[in-house]
Amino acid sequence: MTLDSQLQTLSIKSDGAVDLSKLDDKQRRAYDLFHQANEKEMEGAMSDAVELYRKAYKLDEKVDRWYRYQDITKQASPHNKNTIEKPAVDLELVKKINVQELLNSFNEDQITPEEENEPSPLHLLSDDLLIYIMELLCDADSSSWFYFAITCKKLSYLGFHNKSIWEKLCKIVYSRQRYDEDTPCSQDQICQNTWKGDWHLMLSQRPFLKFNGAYISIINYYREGGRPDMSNSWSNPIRCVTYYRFVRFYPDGTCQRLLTFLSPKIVVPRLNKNYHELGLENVFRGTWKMTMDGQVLITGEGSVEGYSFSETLQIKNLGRMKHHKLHWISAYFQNKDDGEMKHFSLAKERPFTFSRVKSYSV
Amino acid sequence: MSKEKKIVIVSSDNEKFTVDRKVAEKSILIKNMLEDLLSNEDHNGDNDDDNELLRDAAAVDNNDLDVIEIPTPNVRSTVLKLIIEWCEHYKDISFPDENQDEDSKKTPPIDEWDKNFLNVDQEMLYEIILAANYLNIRPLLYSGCKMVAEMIRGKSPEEIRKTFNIVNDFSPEEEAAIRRENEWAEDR
Repeated sequence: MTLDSQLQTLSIKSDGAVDLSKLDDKQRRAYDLFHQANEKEMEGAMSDAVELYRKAYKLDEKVDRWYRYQDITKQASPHNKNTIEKPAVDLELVKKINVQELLNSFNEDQITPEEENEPSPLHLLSDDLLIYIMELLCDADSSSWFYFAITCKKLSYLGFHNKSIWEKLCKIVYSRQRYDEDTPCSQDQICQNTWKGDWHLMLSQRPFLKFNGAYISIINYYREGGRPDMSNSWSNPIRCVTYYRFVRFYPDGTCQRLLTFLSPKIVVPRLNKNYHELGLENVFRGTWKMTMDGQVLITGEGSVEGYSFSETLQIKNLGRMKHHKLHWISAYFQNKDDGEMKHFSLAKERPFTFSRVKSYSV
Repeated sequence: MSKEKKIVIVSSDNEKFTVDRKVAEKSILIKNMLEDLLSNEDHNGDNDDDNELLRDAAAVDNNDLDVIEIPTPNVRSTVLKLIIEWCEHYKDISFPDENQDEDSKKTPPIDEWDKNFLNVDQEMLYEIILAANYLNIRPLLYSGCKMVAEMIRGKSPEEIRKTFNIVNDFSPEEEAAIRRENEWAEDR
């Protein structure tokens, strides 16, 4: 078969896109299975993903190629308003940039208008007023301040370099934390004493829990299964088991915990105070508090009545994402009557990673 | 101290608006000015104040004891008219003093009346904000800025640039570096 005719059978258009309407039934099914497999893989459900990938390849061995073509072209499509054509970014150069110095160099910049004859209406407002608007945005939700400040040099100087925005963020964040002992100092004193009044540094170093999302731990483990009767296979089948732990914290000091096989896609939109009506079960309530250095203690009900279940976790950074991870320290349960306490093994546990959820407004 | 005095606020283009003292005092700038002025009057004006506005206002006051004129040299009459309309509406409502220590508190949603009142074109909105800032009318300043914040909320950076006529003046590398450095602070 010539290359041309191969391309014909794959119905790839000249620009590399696959015309899905030209796929036959079998190819279409393979495509759908591959898509599902991809989703499962992203959720961390490896076993399901492998199964679906295998099915897809059995139907069509080239399914991966045109799935990817299709995927790329979909992302670049102008119908998707969130994807704007981005110029290529030199990542090596990005790493070399000292962001604080860069922001500092913008202090003389003004907002450049798109329409040259008309200045941006924002130019009327003084820096103080623009900062005040950013502070209101910080109050309103988590992303607006960021999106506003990333629009141009001048606004990034005000929004990321100015001390008052970081102070505002600190005051929002730390006033919502629950500490195991009362902190006698005000936020200003804490910042002054430990971080020399640098609010930005305090926010990036002093641990805090986040409420605009859920902490999810994905656990995959392998189990050797039994050979079916009459099987002449050499080895026992290996089953990969995936389950999830979810924790959602609330600023009022309560939290919800759930251990389940259900994927985040199903659980996350339902993990709220109405979880029961939304069809989730075995969501256990608890209370949480933390130490100044970011050790979180959760205590609450669990799968057995008459016992209280506790977990201690440590807030950690996930690369550049600060305070984005919870590491296990211990997990135990206690008989409410006689106080007897036993620890769980943490051998299989994996750290929790934070995921933002739009519907979780604080 | 006479409470019957009529206050005349003069716009930059010299249009005069006569208002009750209660209305004028929604502006903390004017309120402080009047307090100084009237206490000066009680003390026979022996207080040497070098506030230019105060002197202007006082000068008029000497000519006609029942009228105090207050110039607002950077507020146009069309804007001033709206500002006074706002002050009239709220003349019987006292706003709680701002408490600086409680800035961690969530800000209240914008008042419905203010929302309708401020449903004007962008330029007018900014002029109202600037005037409210100058005249020190905090609740109006707050509502105005909140209106701008509402225009920003829920938009992507690209949409914000379009709304406010802003050019993205970063190099792609600069933008990426700033994002990388700060995006963690979005979650809280």
